[in-house]
Amino acid sequence: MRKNKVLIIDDVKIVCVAIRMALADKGYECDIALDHVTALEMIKLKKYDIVFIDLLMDDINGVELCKIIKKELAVGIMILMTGYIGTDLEEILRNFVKAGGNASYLLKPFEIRDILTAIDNSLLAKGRKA
Amino acid sequence: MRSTNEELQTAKEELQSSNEELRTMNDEISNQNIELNWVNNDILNLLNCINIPIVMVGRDLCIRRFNPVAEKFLSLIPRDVGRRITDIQPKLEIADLEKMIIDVVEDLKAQEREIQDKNGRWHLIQIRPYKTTEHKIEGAVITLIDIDNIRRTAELERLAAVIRDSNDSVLLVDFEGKIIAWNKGAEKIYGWSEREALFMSIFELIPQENIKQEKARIKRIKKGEMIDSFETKRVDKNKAILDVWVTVTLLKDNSGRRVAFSLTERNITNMRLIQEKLVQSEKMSAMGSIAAGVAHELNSPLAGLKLMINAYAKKTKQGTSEAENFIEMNDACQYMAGIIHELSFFAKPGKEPVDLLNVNEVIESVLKLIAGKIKEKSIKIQKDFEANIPNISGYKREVQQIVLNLINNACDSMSTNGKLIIRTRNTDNNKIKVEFIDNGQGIKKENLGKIFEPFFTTKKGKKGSGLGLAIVKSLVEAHNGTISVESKKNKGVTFILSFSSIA
Repeated sequence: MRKNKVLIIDDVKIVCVAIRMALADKGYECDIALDHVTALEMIKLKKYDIVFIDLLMDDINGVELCKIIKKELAVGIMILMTGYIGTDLEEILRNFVKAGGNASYLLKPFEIRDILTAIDNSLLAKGRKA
Repeated sequence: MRSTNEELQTAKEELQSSNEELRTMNDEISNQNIELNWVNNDILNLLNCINIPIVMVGRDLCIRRFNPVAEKFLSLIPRDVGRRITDIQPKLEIADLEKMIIDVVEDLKAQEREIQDKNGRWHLIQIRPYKTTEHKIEGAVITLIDIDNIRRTAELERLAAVIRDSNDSVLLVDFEGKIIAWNKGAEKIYGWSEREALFMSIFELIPQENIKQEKARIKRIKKGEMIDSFETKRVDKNKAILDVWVTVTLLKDNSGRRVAFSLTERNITNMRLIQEKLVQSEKMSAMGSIAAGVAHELNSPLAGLKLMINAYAKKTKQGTSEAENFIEMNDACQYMAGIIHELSFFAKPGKEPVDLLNVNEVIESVLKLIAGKIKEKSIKIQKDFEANIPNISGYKREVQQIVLNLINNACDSMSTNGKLIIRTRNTDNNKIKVEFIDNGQGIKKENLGKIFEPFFTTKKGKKGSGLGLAIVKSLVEAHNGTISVESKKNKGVTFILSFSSIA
């Protein structure tokens, strides 16, 4: 079976490394991008099935990045990750979905099973749409 | 010849009789003169002995006469007679004097006005027409009546009324500390009537620990030192301590001797409370933004750490010391995540729709939730619920959180024979009162004021984040409720919550 290709975009390196570690055990092939420029370069070179995007990064907002990726490049599903707890989180999520992201999101700190659930839900949702 | 003689005789008689008449007339005139003289003297004496400055002027505004008081008061000299009154520079400047006099002379109407001299004394100037016996108006009479005392008395009466009815306490105190005046404001604030207060000393209003300091202050006042307004404490008739803002005014007698001082005191106890509440709510809102920032910053690395630890843990053989270490690491992450999660309660007010909540049901739901912990610590729960209790409006999750934190706290504070009474009551004033009464270790008096502050905890080690009660307070207040606490060391704690009910 073809390995699912995953890109993890977060400016906190340990998040990327840890998700890669966790998903590697489950048979995913993971790449890491610590900023959006690198991320976009990588997406141009490789077709990713799943992209994890952090909401608040130093140089870009996850919702904006999601918009750019959706508009110019082809990826499978995009899943938002965040440790933000503001009252407007729901609205941000709605915007993320509007921008082409997936409705299942990950609230930090999360467990490996949360990641797998989000992936499953997103793939299911995509399958339904397709 | 004879006839000539006779004629002469007749003429002589006539002359004699004329002479008689003239003499009589002369006598009469002389008498009249004397009378006029008397009148003149009378009038002059009258004029001179009246202690009111009087100036008479003609139609031409020239001075005709003035009395000695006027001479002194207006600094006139005898030579001023004949000069226009408007040409002399009197001690008293009277605006429109010329116009006033002309009006009086022409309209025959007396005029008067209150004026102030250069020393600040008040006078009533009256200008009346000068009438001759033939009712001709020949000028005007100007009088100046000193009304300074009258005016000042009226002013004093007004001031006295202001002070008497002031909401601020105004008292006069002599340098022995004896209270010599006491207004209604003082009665309202401190509770003693004027009659009682006048037998009291100011020191009866001062808390014991402040007396030394206040005595020193009175000494300084007595020395004539200026004292800035200051905040201090007073004891009222019911022995309650009040915060007051005091302004001191030194009183001198006419000779300039310092005789007493007045204290104007405003009760700022409530203001203090409001201020404290405001500071508290500002603290909470600052706390909210810090919480949001901290949560965001910490959640990412924490997420990475946790995932990584778990990934390593899975690769490690169960039962080894490494595996145990990974469990410890995971627990530590869990603990940090817990605190960040609790912080989030400050950061986001409830956003789910407002529910109508029955507090009895909310408490029951929470008791089910933590039945395990209650059983584990064998704590006896005594439910004293009011049946058919009216609803309150609020966020179910948050009210549950309030109840959960309070029950959790109670459980943690009790060791053996723990008993928690949870009482709900519908009070008369449309309030729902909820009480949590435990028999645990209680709270030390010095800590009572701090327990609602974030990060204040007496729980040892990892047991408490110090956020539980701070969250409870902020959630209760978000529901427009109040929370208070009563406790004595080793006598347990009672938390009393009050919410508005929906009728």
